[in-house]
Amino acid sequence: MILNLLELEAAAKASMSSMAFEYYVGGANDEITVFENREAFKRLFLHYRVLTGVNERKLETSLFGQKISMPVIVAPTAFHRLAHTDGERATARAAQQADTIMTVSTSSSVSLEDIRAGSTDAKLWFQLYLFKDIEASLEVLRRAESIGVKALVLTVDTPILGRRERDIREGFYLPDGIQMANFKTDLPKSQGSSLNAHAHQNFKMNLSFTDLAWLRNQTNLPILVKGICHPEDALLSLEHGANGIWVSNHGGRQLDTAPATISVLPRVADVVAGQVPIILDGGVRRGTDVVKALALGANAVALGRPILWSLAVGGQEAVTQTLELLRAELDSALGLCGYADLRLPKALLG
Amino acid sequence: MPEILNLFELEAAARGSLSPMAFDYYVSGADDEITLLENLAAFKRLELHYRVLTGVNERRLETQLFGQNISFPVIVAPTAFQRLAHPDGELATAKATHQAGTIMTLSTIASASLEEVRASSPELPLWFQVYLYKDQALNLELLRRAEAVGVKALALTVDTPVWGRRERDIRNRFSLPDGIHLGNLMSGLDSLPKGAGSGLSAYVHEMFKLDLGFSDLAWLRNHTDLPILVKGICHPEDAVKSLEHGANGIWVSNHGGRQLDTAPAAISVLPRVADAVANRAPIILDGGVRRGTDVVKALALGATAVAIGRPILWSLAVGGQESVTQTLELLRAEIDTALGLCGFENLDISRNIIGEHR
Repeated sequence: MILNLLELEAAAKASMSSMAFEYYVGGANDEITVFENREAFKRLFLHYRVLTGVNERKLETSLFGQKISMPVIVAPTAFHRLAHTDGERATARAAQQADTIMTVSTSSSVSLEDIRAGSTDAKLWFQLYLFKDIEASLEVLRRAESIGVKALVLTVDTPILGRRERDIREGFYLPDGIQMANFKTDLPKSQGSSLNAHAHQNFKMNLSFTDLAWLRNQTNLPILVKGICHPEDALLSLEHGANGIWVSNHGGRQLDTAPATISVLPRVADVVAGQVPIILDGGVRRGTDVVKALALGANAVALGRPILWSLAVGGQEAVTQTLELLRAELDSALGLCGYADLRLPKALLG
Repeated sequence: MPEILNLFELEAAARGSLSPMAFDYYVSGADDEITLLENLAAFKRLELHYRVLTGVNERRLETQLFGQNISFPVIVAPTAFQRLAHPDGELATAKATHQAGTIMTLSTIASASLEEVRASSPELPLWFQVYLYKDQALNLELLRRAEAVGVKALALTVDTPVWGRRERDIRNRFSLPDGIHLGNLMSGLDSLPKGAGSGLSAYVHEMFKLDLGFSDLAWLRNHTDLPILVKGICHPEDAVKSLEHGANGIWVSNHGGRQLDTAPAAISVLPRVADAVANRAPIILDGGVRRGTDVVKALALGATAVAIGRPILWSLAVGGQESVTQTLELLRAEIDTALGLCGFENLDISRNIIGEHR
């Protein structure tokens, strides 16, 4: 019996290879940022109101004109088939059932086209790593557009791939039958992390604002810049054509000792000043965490690892349960705080 | 009975005499129990900047609430189903509280009735905690019965617009064992459903009017002349609005960390609430009070008295009435010592004795 999202990790560990578990659970270096993402939420207190007469809560919101049933979306994470044989197909179906957005990773283990075939009405975003080969970047962009992706998420916090020591120790690779499905690329066993080797060989890591401007010129889709920690980078992103800001430290997998996302959110939200939507990921596990992120300026939060753990525990059905559990927690938390909808004042944090 | 030197030791001593389901029900908080822990931690962060050479010899601990004299500024908080801890349940608590010369707050969902408590402790200063039911006739009936047994004040709980998610109760499928009932309620309303999840959560969502507004406080105000305390206040503006809607007292509480997890510690919000109340009404504080120094801190920051919940339950489990008496006397002695060490001779404690470290 899973009573909360925190319990998923231990439940999932039993049904996964140690290599896959370590890949998902790991952060960079000492995993200080992984831990801090959670701790920073716990240090924030909710100064609830009483006798408000609130009876029912409205959790619906919209992002780039698309309605979603709650302010929780699925973050991009790689290789879902390491967790469950249905992989991203299961995740997309569960997200569709929960009526929210799934962000498909460039490094998905089911292709964009196969994900779309399995869930024709899923609300999909696509997370983009740019390739050194511009043609390859353009090709995957066109494929994303042709399956009806509603926004692009450009990851910008990987000028170098973070050093995840667990992957080095485990010699991370993709087992037979699991590929980077969008490119039919294998990541065979080698010395160290074969993902690290592949990324450094093929991805254009040293992105700058000119790359964002380039992407802006290649597509009419809204672009979110994912991996923002600093308010000035949020502003520069907007100046270079971004339509959304995604506050993230890559789940603590890139720069260790980067600040918790919820800690930097208020300053980012101040400069963004409501011009564009803000997504936050990193450590969201409780309905109260969602309330805190929204009160501090996020339009929605994204869930990464809890989705992977759910897949491992029970595929599509478990992902659905996880999304519904968080929805119920969010509903309770809003009620206990005394609010009827998602318009939450910063003062709720005291 | 084991030798108990302080209120912290009670929990471990009580555990062995309680069913796991009852222990979990009493001990738990909502979700990750962050507020439960913070209620205690916030007291520890407050430093007492004591004064010396004051010549204080004896301390006077007496105070008053709504004209009622009590022997010290500690009252008994409302907690449910005390017969889960001891067969004598609320009757034992009532006798011990009377003996200590202070107030007991009986819960709406006590396992003994108002009348039983009054019959066993005719002189006890008794308050009654109010949960409003959806059935207004029932609310009025409970109110009249409380008045009839000579209850001196009502404490309206307002921090339960949704029932807190106490995961241990869900896991244990919390319900009441045979022979334990909601003593104040008639047959049909006096038991908790047995099924998946917490039976108490299922009961309150079906029976209680949870979505209270200030109009409900005004309704209660119009139906009784008793003083009304609003219990579950965290925000200074809600304290002010409560007074505007007829409340006579403010009870700062986060329900022992059992409702909204990551609500701030009661002692952390007290100073701002006290500033807003500005001595217009007494303030009770509960949540994490375990030491005489905690009581001194709460009084310095604006509380008129504190209430204790779980330590009473643990005492009941350890040794019934006698143990509850010992606990109250232990805390009384600690307050006396703490006041003396701070250099005060009565409860007129200035706020500037408090400092905070991180």
